[in-house]
Amino acid sequence: MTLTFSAALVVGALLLACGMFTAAWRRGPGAGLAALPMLAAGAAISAAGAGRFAAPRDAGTGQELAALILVAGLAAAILGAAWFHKGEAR
Amino acid sequence: MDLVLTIVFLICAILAVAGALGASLGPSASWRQLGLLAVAVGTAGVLASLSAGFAALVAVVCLGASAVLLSAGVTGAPRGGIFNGSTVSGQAGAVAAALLLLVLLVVAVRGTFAAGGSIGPGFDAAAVGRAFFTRDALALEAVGAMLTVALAAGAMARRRRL
Repeated sequence: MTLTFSAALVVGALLLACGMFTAAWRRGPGAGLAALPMLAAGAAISAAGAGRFAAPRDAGTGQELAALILVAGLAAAILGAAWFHKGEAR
Repeated sequence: MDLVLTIVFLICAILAVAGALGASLGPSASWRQLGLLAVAVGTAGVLASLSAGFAALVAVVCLGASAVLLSAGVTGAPRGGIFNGSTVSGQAGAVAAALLLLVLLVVAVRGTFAAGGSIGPGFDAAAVGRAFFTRDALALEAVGAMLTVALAAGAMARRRRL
């Protein structure tokens, strides 16, 4: 029983699909923003898996891409929350 | 070692997916916060078991902060019950998410990928730092600028509310 690239991609796919489902299913202004961390997590796991299993010569790239995706996800969440509060204040 | 890593990977993956489902379908904001925190912890564990310790730390910080931010400030009720989403758009979105999952699973399981062996240390922050500040400096600057703009917008929105 060893880790494979497919396992990492399956987990990433599950989180991405959960994120998309949340964005579609949640009702109420701003509630769909909860999808952003899930989408970022799924993409980051896929990138890290690619770096770990499919790019052994350049191992840091996947980790680097995962970190960038996660920070971009946080920025998007902050922007979304700010936009939501701006609309709420009007 | 591989067996231990695989077990850690599986446990953390289950935690992350369960947290995501809890955040999606949970009835209250506390469910959502708990779910998003579980996603943060599970993702960090998965990344750590994939020899990406630096990314795991970033995941704890970024996803944890997102969970606190989105749960504390943004409210919203889920649709009435798990299986009776009332609007057509919501149901269409759920079907689209299921289709996306199907496609991604087929690609992940049936696809042929280059397979590499195990690689160096799990927390290779030096290599990641070198990549950040030399080869991919532009990407780092772009993400940094995005985060700065987001923080400024968040501060302005908060100031308007007070």
